[in-house]
Amino acid sequence: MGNCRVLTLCSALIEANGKIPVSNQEEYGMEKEQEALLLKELMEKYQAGDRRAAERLVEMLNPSLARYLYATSLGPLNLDDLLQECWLRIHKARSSYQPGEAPMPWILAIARHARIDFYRRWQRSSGRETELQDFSDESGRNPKLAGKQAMAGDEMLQMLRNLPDSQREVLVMMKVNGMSIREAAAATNSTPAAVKQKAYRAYQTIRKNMGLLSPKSKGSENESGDRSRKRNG
Amino acid sequence: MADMECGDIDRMMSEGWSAPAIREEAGAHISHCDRCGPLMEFYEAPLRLPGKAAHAVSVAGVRISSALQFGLEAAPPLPGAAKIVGAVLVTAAGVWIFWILLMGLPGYSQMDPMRRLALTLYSLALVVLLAGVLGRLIRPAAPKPVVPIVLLLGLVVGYPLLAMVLYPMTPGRGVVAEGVVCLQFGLISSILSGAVIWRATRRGYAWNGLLSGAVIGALGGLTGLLVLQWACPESEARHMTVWHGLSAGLSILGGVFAGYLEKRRH
Repeated sequence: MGNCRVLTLCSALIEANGKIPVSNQEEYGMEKEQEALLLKELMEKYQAGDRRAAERLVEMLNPSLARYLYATSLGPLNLDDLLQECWLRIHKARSSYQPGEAPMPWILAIARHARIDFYRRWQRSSGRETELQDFSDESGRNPKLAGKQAMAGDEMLQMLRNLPDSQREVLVMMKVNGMSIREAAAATNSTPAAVKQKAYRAYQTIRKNMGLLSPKSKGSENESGDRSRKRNG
Repeated sequence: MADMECGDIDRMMSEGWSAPAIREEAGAHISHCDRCGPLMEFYEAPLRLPGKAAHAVSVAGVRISSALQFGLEAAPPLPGAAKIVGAVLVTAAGVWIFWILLMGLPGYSQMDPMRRLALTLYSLALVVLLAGVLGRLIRPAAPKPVVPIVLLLGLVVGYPLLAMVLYPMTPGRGVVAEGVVCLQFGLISSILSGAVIWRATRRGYAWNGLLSGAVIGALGGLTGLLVLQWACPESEARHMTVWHGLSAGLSILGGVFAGYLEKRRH
């Protein structure tokens, strides 16, 4: 079961005061399954040269791809250029998609390399180029304009930015893109065990940064801190 | 799980949800815990792109969509792993036959059945494994392949060891003159076969250009080794280790360099 579903379940659990609303789980699972099937079908049609499928694919995947790139950005962002670069690579590599497989890990694996190459290029030329797009948005920070949820979204972005690259990437894939552990492992060329470990550490770091660590965890953290300080003399 | 704690919730979220009973217990914990409740609400919030970024994405989407549709042609999916292994074997066999027809089989008489069997099995096993790895290296998000470095070491270190075990060492022979000839033939065979494999894999997406180059170089190098094994009359361990091994090693380095150039080009 993907973590996205877990998170949805968690909120449902809070509302239902401990009772699991089975109908919600089923609906959510079916919706995800249908979406995955549609994506597979569109990818296969795109591979076969269907223009309408290409249009629908961009329509469906572009926001998700943009959120991934935005949340995992490694420096100042030129989102539309980066998106264009990703889609160009996806287009060139479309024959390497294996029909029947989930398209999202394949797409994010390509996007991940495009993102890294993009920032390497940016780092090389950063001495010459200074102007990059500023996407800061006042409405997103104003609770009166955008509401509580938008605030939480911005806060989430801030929390993600404070995580190490590898943990942030895994968490974005699972939380923002709704990928399963296995899919995130495939996209990052990693193992499911490594993804689980990174996700766990990310959840722990976020909890710590939000000041929501349980007293017991704080105690064990202090103890481990003391131990490491002693080891280091 | 008795008395679930906040850490258990993080663990369950990172490992995926499990049995319904545990889910129920987790739900009970979340609903009563003043640390986990707000955290779940926080995770629940969708990640929203700021207004300018959302606008840039929608504009870019229209542009990308029309660019992709322009002159869109069918791109048949890459063949499966078995077909890739088969194609690499056919390429290696083609280059091998070409050279054997040209140079004959002077090395054949120097090999007893044990040497023939050991070297043929070693080469075939490495070709099949390396070709399988290559099939995954050119497909993004394919299942993680056998660690390619191990296979490359199997060629660079394994071959000299095998040669030293199978062939006698005869000191005091003129090594350099015959060696350079072997190196030349080995490298030409490697380049021929490597170039064919490189060309055939261009449709894929090499997510690690250097590693893909090294694997293609190793496949070329193995073809070179096979040619030399049957065509070289010098059956001496030191000669094979140094010169035949060197041709395979240089082929891998050539592949890495080609991979680097390709990466730079893009």
